[in-house]
Amino acid sequence: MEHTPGDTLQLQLDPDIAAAFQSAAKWARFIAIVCFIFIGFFSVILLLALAMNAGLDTMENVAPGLQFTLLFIFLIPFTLVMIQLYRFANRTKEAIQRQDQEMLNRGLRNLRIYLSVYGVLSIISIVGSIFNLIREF
Amino acid sequence: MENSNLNLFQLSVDHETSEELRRCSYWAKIVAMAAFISAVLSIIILFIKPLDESEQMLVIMGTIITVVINVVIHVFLYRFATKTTTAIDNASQHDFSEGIAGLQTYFKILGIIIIIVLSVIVLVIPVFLIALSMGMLA
Repeated sequence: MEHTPGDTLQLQLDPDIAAAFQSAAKWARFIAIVCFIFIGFFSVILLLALAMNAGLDTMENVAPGLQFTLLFIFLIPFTLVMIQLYRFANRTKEAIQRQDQEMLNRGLRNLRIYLSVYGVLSIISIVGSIFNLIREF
Repeated sequence: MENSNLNLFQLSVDHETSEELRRCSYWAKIVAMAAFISAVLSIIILFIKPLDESEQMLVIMGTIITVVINVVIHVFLYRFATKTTTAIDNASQHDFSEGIAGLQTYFKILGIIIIIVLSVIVLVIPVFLIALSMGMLA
């Protein structure tokens, strides 16, 4: 069945669903804030290690400067994911408080971006694990 | 009574909301499936990779705990994905409610695990520092 734009489906955001959305938003906000602190902390440690020209034991063959550049590059998608999660949390909470349909849609868009980046990173991680598995044989 | 409660909420699932929810469900399903595959791979690697006698028990326990937590969390994300898709396809309010509850539980468990990990770190750091200072003194 095709729904035309603006066509309201039978689904409603009843108080129970709104409460579940708000609770999800509250926890998502907490997770995002903790991750922001972790990212900041990790960045400071990386900068300090870079200043001291220290390297990692696990990456002996790679120059220390390149090691930390790679780690910073790894932090970028992680930070973007957390920004989307934080936006989802704030916008969803605000949408329910203000009964703003547009805000709710924007919050869900942020959740979708969070899940899509997370999904791509998960697939990359699986490919890495498979390579690791092949290397063991 | 229920109708009056419903009327208090001006928010509904319009075309754009349902499309966003559908896309969220699609990606949530991919994330959950990736987590399940990753869990299986972790177990396989655990059995293949040679381990030292001393660290064997610790590594096995650590991997099993991580895999169980990972699977449990993502079961709720998978539930969100499947129930929300069913809810949109069949206009089922009950499935919609269960789907969003799945998303809520997913974030809640993730948040609680972060609290536990932070608590362990807060407890371990002073112990580590004390051990380090005692070692240095000795």
